Amino acid sequence: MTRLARALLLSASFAAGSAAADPLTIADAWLRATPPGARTAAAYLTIANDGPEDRLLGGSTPAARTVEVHTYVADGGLERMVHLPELEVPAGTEVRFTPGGPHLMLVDLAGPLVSGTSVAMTLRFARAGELVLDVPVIDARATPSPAVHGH
Amino acid sequence: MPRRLLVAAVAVAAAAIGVAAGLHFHQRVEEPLAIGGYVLERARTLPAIELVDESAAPFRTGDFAGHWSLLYFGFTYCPDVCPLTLVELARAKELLTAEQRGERVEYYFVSVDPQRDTPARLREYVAYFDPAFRGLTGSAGALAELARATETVFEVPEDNDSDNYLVSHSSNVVVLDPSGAVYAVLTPPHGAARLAADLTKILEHRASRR
Repeated sequence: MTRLARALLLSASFAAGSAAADPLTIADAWLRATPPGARTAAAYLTIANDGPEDRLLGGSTPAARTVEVHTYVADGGLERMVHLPELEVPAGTEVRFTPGGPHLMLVDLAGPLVSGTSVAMTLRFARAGELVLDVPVIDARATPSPAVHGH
Repeated sequence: MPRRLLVAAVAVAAAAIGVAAGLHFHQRVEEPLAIGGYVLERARTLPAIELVDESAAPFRTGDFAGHWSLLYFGFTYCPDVCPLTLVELARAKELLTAEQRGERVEYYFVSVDPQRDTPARLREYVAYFDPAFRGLTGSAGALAELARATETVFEVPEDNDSDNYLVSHSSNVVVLDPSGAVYAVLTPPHGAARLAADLTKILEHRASRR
């Protein structure tokens, strides 16, 4: 098993605040380790919703000033990266954040994200409230990215 | 030979020559190269544009001559698609060293965000992905001209007083041939294996054209 696969299995365990009947499950969470001097970073994960429709309103982490939901919107020859104020998580679906696709953008990093460490991150949902994750930092140079999606 | 038969023979011969010529002509119509992207019908020479490299030294478009060049446009504040593509390019570079057959390939990250991406910033950024990667940037005008000539689109917001603006850019990898002309454009998604395979095909394609 690759280091990445192990990290993914260990990832996204709810650290606190998750009720047993919580309809949202978060899996495969990882953060891209940052190049020197980086001010931003991207987090990727999958949200599975077994319950009623919910909305992701954003997030927070001690590692950055803010966490925003970003996606790409085709606009002519341009793929415009846009900040979504909220993202629908429809009932009975999975929402995937993947490299080259929708991602969580950490803005104004407090410091570099170092491979092998992990970062606490809180995701805020309209219905489910706050979910706290422990997200591993992975050096994508050393391990193939789990998925490469075109946009 | 009876005259009528001679006419017929000449007609058949002419038809055969015509068919042969037609076939020959047909063979010259190139099949599109099966790559993730496209080869330009005719390689496009770049206009003379002055840029600046990761050591703050002047870099002119003429400096692309003498080797193959892969150009990727982005900005270092880009959290997702830029690091993703640079990682794949670095892997493709490793795959290619075995297959290049003496052809040199240079890799350039062109920042379209000179306000935040100084040469020093670019140097530490590109070196993280591969020590041999080069960084380029320039004035807004120079970058716009380079983008136009390389079928690249980007957009920097005008209202960027804050330090947290987002830059939009196409995610193509532009391939320049050893004359420094735009030869092909590779479109995302960019996986290392595909980048390496496509570049190998492009090298062979140019060799067969000449």
